[in-house]
Amino acid sequence: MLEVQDLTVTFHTGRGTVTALHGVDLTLPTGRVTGLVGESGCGKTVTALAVMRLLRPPGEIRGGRVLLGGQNLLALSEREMDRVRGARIAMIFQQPRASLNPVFPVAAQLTHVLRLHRGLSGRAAWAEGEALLARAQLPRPERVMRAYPHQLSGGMCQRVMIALALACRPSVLLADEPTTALDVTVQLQIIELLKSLQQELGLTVLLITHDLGLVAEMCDFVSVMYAGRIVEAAPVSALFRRPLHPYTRGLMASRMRAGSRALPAGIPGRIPDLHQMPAGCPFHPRCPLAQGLCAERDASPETVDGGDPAASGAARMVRCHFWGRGVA
Amino acid sequence: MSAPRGAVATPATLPVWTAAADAIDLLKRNPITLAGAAVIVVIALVGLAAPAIAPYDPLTTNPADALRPPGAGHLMGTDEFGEDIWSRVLWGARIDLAIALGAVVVALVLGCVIGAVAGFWGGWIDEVAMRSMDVLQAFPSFILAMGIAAALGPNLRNLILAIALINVAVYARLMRARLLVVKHALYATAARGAGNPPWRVLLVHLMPNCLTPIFVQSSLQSGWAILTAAGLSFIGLGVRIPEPEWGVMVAIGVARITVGAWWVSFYPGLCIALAVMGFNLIGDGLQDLLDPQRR
Repeated sequence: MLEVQDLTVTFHTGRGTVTALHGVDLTLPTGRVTGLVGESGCGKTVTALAVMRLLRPPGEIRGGRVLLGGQNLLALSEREMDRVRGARIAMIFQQPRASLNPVFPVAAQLTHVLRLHRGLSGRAAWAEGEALLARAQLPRPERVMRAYPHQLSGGMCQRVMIALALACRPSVLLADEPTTALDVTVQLQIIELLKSLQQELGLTVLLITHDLGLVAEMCDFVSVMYAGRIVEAAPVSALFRRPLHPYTRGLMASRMRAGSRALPAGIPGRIPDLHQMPAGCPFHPRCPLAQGLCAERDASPETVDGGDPAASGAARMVRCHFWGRGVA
Repeated sequence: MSAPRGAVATPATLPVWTAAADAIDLLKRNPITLAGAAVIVVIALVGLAAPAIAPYDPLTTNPADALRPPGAGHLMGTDEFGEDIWSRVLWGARIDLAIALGAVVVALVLGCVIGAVAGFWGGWIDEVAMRSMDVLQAFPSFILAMGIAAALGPNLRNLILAIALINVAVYARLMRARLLVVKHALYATAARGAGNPPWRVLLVHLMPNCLTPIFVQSSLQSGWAILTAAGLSFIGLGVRIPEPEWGVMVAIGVARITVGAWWVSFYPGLCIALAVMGFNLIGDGLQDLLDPQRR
């Protein structure tokens, strides 16, 4: 189980310090897939990078805890963290080709990781590398081993990245929009692959995406993020059946639907500029339910039962003063 | 740009052989680079074989045979001490290539380390390193080389050091500039995410991505190093007379050109020109050879 508690991240910019994450809480149950959805710029990637402690200046973790097996990763030394990264938590990125080193063939990159964390070398590392590529369902792994990233297609690069990420048998995988840069047909294959590997290895996965269809397909739980805050968290079935937060409902209404000629409703306005955060709830300028209170103070997270018998017992969280209004 | 080239076309051979085959293939398509490489290879072979193929000892004087024009017995004639110029030119290939190689390797290693550390860690380390490079580059380089060579004393090792030192800044700047570009690449973040400590990200993942322009530069600088060495030796601050170094040999013959003994300076001068040209031609093709995406 990976637990993120009250994670706060700031960025120092020329126009002052902005807060990118406002006390984010996130729970990734072991062996389950948790989705993190939201518009671009809401802090999804920053959350993943902060968990890995890969944020670069001007980004800075200002508070909170990241608990992996009871151990607070934010309290580890850089050295100890180097033994966690790759070995216990791995991450794959949105641009698969750019995350592979252009001057080395795939083999060099795979055997390097295997030597680093598993002490394999020579033939053993080569064989294990080929086995990993085969496991990532790359055809003719012996050829892919000798290929440079630019000789591979985007989908193949992502499969190589997945092989690299799983090379050291991590228990947690952070997947940052793993299919966004790929063709639709390839997206499906990569999702199938991630799904089967997740089940086979019992991986704990955080799937960052803005694609609600993908969430429905893959995830067990989902957290919705807006302007650096988790505004709603719920089991997937409950969330889709009955979204509570007005922002979640807006996201649902923004989906393209097959067979419908009507353009999706969308959410009016834009995600706020981090430099000019609205007072109170950050969503209130775009919110159909907003009232005077919303501009005065932000709602606090509220645990609700949801009154949904299908999601019996599964607690869900929503962060809105007036979530009860307008819920069907 | 990124279209996969008909699947992955790599034969099942050892990587070393693939690389060598790639290199040969590239040279075939690039005759100018091939010509440059050929010139340097010939000079290197000649230098290695000098003890076996030189007809005379390069340092044996023979006053009776002084200033013979090129012809039978002395292919390139003799100088004022009666030394055989052909033999001296052959031996000179050793010294001049050693100078080029030594100076470039020392400058490249020092410069790359300084530039990489400065670019990667930034802050005050960057300031100190790069302002030191500014100081080095503030002097006209040949004058600085003269100063260093004069201060250290004129011999081969100090000559190499002097030429290397005036070039450190060139490599440091190139390395730092490339590193500033690549250090935020996603693959650097990915490497860090795979558990590599910062120094290994720098050494294993970032520096190899910065080397192409540096190797191209080093090829051009090799020719330039020979020119500088010859220049310093010519004014007496490098290798001393009577060592068979091409610059020294040009210096020996200068006074005789006016009396018609052109061959004393001409042949070593020609060798300098050939070597410099050879290195410059290689530099043009190295870019293609080193960048996997352009193979």
